[in-house]
Amino acid sequence: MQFESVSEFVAMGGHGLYVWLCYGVAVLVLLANLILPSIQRRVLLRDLSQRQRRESNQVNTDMQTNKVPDQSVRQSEVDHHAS
Amino acid sequence: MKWTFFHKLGSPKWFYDISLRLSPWLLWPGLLLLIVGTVWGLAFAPEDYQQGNSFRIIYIHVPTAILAQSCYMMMAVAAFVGLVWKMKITDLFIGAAAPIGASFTFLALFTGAVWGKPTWGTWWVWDARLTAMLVLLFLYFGVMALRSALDDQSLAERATAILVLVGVVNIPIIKYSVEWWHTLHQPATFKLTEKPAMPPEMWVPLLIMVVGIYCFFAAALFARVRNEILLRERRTKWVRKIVEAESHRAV
Repeated sequence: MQFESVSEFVAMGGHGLYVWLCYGVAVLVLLANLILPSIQRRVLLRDLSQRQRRESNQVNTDMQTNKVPDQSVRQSEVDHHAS
Repeated sequence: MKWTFFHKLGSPKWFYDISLRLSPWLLWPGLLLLIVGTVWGLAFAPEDYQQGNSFRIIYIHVPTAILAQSCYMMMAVAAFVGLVWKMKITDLFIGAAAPIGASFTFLALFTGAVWGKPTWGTWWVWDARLTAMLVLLFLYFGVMALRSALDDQSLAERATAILVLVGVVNIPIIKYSVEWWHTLHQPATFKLTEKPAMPPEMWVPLLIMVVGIYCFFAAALFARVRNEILLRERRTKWVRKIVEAESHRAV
């Protein structure tokens, strides 16, 4: 241990502000890199599951009303994705 | 060498599964190494005879600066592979790596500025290395912006890959800036060919931090790549299955 007491450790020989500021911001950056991907995942899964439910509802109503699925819409969607 | 391995590597589903299994083995050892290195560096490493305790900033500054450049090199390799072999997963890697690289470049610049104040007497100078690192930060921002700005997906992939490859010229400039221009920034702490100038009590924790930050980076990168894969492959059967299973779990 390089320091005699806790207060000496905090003071860092007069450089406490600089040292602790760096370590504090580093912790924030690491935390952000941990938390943001999991938030991103949760939002993405929610959006995708809503989308899937909408699509399966669409198919169900199409079958009930004996309607042919709207090919033009489907096709443009596919084109957009493929291009 | 079996080329099936290469093709598997390009398969989003294969990578999704394998990275899910690998991630905890990268994240937890990485965090453990970072904690050990931090405690060692902050409390047990001897203080610098010139800089006193402000030198302890090195344990964040050097690992993050090394990582910021490695991350960019990884993106450049991905961009090259993507352009030559048309692997679609490489673009997902670039998209996932850019925000992480930007965050670590920011951290390297920030800790450098805070370290500069007590050591050089200034937060910022237009020193060659500092300027080149700032260019690296803007390159990361540029990659993120370009990738999301173009609607045409294959055009966006190619444009992003080319930007990444053009920007790679900045990496040797960062590396050799301290030797080409003798301005304010000190030369490299670690060199592969020489023993470090500092005593082991100082550089061992630094090495631990470097290894820890690489593990952490890999875990964070994999988590983001998995998100990119889910989005890109959202129309495939296997992703739809995952989405369904997760939505049941959420309810």
